[in-house]
Amino acid sequence: MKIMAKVSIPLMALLLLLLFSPLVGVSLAQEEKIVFRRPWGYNPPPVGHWNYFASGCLPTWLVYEPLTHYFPANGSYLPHLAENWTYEDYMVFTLKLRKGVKWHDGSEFNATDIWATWHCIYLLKDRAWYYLKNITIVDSHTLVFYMKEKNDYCPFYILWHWVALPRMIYGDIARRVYELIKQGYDIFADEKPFVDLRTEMLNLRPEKPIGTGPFKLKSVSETEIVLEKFEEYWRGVPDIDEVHLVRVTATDVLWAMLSEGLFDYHWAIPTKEQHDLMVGKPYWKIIGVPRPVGITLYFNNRPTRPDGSPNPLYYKEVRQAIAYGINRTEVAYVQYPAGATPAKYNVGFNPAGLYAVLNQSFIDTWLKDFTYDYNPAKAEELLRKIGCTKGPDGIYRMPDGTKLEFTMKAAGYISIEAMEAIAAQLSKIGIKVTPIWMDSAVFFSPEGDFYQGRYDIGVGVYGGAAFSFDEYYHKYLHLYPGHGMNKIQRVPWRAEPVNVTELILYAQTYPAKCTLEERNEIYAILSYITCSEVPVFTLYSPTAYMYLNVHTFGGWPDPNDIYWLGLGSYEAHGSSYLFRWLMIKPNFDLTISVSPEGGGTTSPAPGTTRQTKGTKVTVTATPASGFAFKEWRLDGVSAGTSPTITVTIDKKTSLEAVFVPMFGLTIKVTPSEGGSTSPAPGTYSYVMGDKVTVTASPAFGYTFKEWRLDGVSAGTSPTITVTIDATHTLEAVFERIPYELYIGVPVAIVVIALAAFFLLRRRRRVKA
Amino acid sequence: MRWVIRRLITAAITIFASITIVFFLIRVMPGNPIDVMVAQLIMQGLDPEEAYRRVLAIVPFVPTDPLWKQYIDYMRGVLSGDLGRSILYAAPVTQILIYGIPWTVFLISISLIISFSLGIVLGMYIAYKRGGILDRFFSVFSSVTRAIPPYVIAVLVIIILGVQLKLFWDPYRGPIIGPYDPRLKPGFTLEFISSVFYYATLPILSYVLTTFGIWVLQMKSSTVSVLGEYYIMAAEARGLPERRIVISYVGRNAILPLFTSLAIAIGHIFSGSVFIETVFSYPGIGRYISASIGGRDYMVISGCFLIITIAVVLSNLIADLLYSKLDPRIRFR
Repeated sequence: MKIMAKVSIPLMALLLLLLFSPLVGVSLAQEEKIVFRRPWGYNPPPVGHWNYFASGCLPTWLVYEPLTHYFPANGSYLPHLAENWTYEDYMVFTLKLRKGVKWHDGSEFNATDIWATWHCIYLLKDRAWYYLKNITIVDSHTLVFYMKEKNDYCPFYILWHWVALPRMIYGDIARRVYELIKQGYDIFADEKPFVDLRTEMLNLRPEKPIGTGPFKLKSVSETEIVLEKFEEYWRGVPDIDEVHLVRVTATDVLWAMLSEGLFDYHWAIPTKEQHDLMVGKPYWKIIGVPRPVGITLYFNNRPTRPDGSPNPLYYKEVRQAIAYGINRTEVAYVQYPAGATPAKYNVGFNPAGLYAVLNQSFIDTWLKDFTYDYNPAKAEELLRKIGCTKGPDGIYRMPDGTKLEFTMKAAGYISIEAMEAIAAQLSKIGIKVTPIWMDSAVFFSPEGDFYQGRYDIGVGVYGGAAFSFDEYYHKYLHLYPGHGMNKIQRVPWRAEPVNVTELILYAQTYPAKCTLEERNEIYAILSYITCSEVPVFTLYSPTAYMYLNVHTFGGWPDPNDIYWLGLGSYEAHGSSYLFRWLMIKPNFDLTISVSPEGGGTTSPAPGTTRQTKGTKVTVTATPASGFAFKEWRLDGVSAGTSPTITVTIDKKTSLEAVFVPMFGLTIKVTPSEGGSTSPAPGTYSYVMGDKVTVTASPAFGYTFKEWRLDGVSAGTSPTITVTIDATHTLEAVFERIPYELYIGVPVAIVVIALAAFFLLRRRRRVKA
Repeated sequence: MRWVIRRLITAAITIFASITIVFFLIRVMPGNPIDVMVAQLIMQGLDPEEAYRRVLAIVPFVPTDPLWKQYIDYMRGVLSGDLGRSILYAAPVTQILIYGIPWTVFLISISLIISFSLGIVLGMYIAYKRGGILDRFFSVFSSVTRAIPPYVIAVLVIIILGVQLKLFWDPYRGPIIGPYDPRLKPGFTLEFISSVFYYATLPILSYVLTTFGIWVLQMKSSTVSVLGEYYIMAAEARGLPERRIVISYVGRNAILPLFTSLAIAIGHIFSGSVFIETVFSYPGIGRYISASIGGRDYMVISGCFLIITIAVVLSNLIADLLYSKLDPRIRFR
């Protein structure tokens, strides 16, 4: 056995060494830098790279910038790299770029960069190029985008969707694109020269990204991408030295780190457990916004199923019964216990866009009855109305005997638990639903079940990642034929029936043909049909949460700011706004103290608070009884004697209110009628070290004799200076001048004078 | 010699068959890389036409040839050392493997040495002390750790030793994960090498915890059966020193059945530990296996499995060859 002990000891030692290797591991002192950290998933090199156009591009979040900031809540653009722009007759988009903006390599940002960016975008067959004819450079900072046809699509993509990329990286490809276009080649025809050039562009592997953003690349590793501030950023030098994008691949570890406050910002659609880890933590401020995409049930509206059997879902009442039979609030909670918003009206598009095209009067008049609030009694009533009867198994049957049994196919967007909750709710009203979970790549492929309508009930999404309203109905253009909805429909305010497909196609000609009024009327018609006919049933959209670390950083917009509403989508572009506008600033400790303890207090009270850089804090000192305020000491240096001070925070700051104890000086006059003093007799308070000068003035008939300090003779000069080092009593001693002297001397003078007078007179007489 | 040649031919056939099966198997998986990316965009709200067009625009290589032609091209590439290009990452598969394999081999080989060594020592020890407290403890402990999924152990290790106890904790960066301190520049420096070992500690610990139990139980079982052999009693009766009995009689015989498992485990070094590498953000090929399967990146999946297959087959072959040296009773025929 000894041999085993001999073998096991070194092994255990090795394991212990590994276990306690923190003690021998490298320890690098953390530089005193202001670092902003947020989690970010990415594939490190060599898989990850810096080609913005190819899949696998590493995050260029703060390196490249869009030309503006877009507020989806009100549809406004805030100028940024684009200083201003005009859109003449929806055909000529003139863009003026800001001057004085520099790329990270020091070269100047100009119109050629945007020209190069958009010619590379051409290779991606971006939808904007359906409308774009050509782009010309007017001068170093002005471009004109000419359209083939009127559209309101392109500005969004020019100003917000795409970023400005450098000609230094993409200029060569762009010039070749331009040459090929001039030679008559067309990317949309997949002609070989363009296909080859696109492959070449996608295979570009720039050494590093060169952007105009407030941060430039410093390093990339397996666990973090480090961006450092760009000193020549046109808006000014950022207050944050580095931004670290931290890669944590294990979700549990990520949320454990988040709950410890190890990050400064996070955006997520969390589980309840994850969200609960963050709630109540003093350093996290949490803001939730509904996402612009949500979950929708799509019904197969055809008269028959694929196997030829009758399809009960063909009947509007059955679809409506399903809508009334689903408690969306409950199902939303099942899937997103951390937060989700049920759609109020079954209009079939993102509820956030509701009031963009429908006015309140229309909603109140025509849509108010279609909120489909949970109402199982009404659901059964609708079924009975069309002659359905409940069988012995509790499932309703159509008059032709077809059971209300459906499959519900989904792949990835709704959770299995939510599907089961829907099935359980519908079983209560006599409708049997069997959830089927499918592979998303199969289900959502263009030839897959979803887009081919091979389902009873399919689960997909409504809304769109972009904010273009026509995208919402563009989807319907595919779906209406796909899931069997009759394209001829009626609305109560029109005598003639409408053709849904034609309406959608016509709406997409806005602004070229369709006017704004016509487009809004079409949306109103489509909304009403979707509400009343229930070809789809919108369920809910998840809440996206922003977690803001208010302990480490400040400057976050107010929670009610419309800015946050834009972060339901375009999160990277959206959150970069905070950095591009230099809004986020570090918090520093402001420590207020008093000296000595008990000598007084301050307002705000002594203690340590976190203050955002640039904040002006006004502090007032109030001495305690027996003390006086002496001065402020800012980081140990005297900073004024006024009791109120305003400090501008630009680093970790300590502010000390210095109080000093007060000592009494009692001035007396002896005797009391013997004279006066200046200051007058009485008791005065002075702080330690004060020098008090007192002057004695004798009254008539008195003369100053001396000063007595605490009973001890202290001088005979009428003026004395007392240094305050303790409580003292200063006595001015006067003495009375004897009144006999005042009378006797004049009388004696008079007598002597009279005597002298008479003596002189007598002598003159004797001589005479 | 003929046996060796026969085994080599068998190994080659095994590898060929495995490559072929993997090639076709992954292609009959539902979905393809394009569909996966399209589905992701659709779920973000894009309509299918737009999503499909965008994906086709950014994916540089789309396998559109008939399957048999793809297979022939692939086999031709394999024989010439070209494993193709990743569809999702637009990078040569060999480049991905060359980057990932050293990290995986480093991590898993150290883990395996510790796990195996600890397992056989503890296994022998508790076999000698069977019925004792240590036997009961390690039997239960081994079964429990073996039963818990590796990613659970890995997450627990990070949360307990990293987040809670802060033993593996960077006061600024949080728990120690990744291959090395990102502030260091990779190079042949003491600082960098010590950082690599430091950062490997928790993944190694997780791997050891999840695997050494099986070695303990196997070695215990093997030792117990050897201890009952007559030659052990005979050796003891002859008054041989305990050291010699433990090493030459018990140890050498008890360890023999474990060699096959060890050979397979050595082969699997190249497959890494998918979950542990994922949890620890470790840049080995295990991470690429999970990502490529999720993204249906055929070329990367094929490349990873090719390496694993070759490694397992070769390590088994080497084990067979070494077996005769370890056990004189076995001879080539």
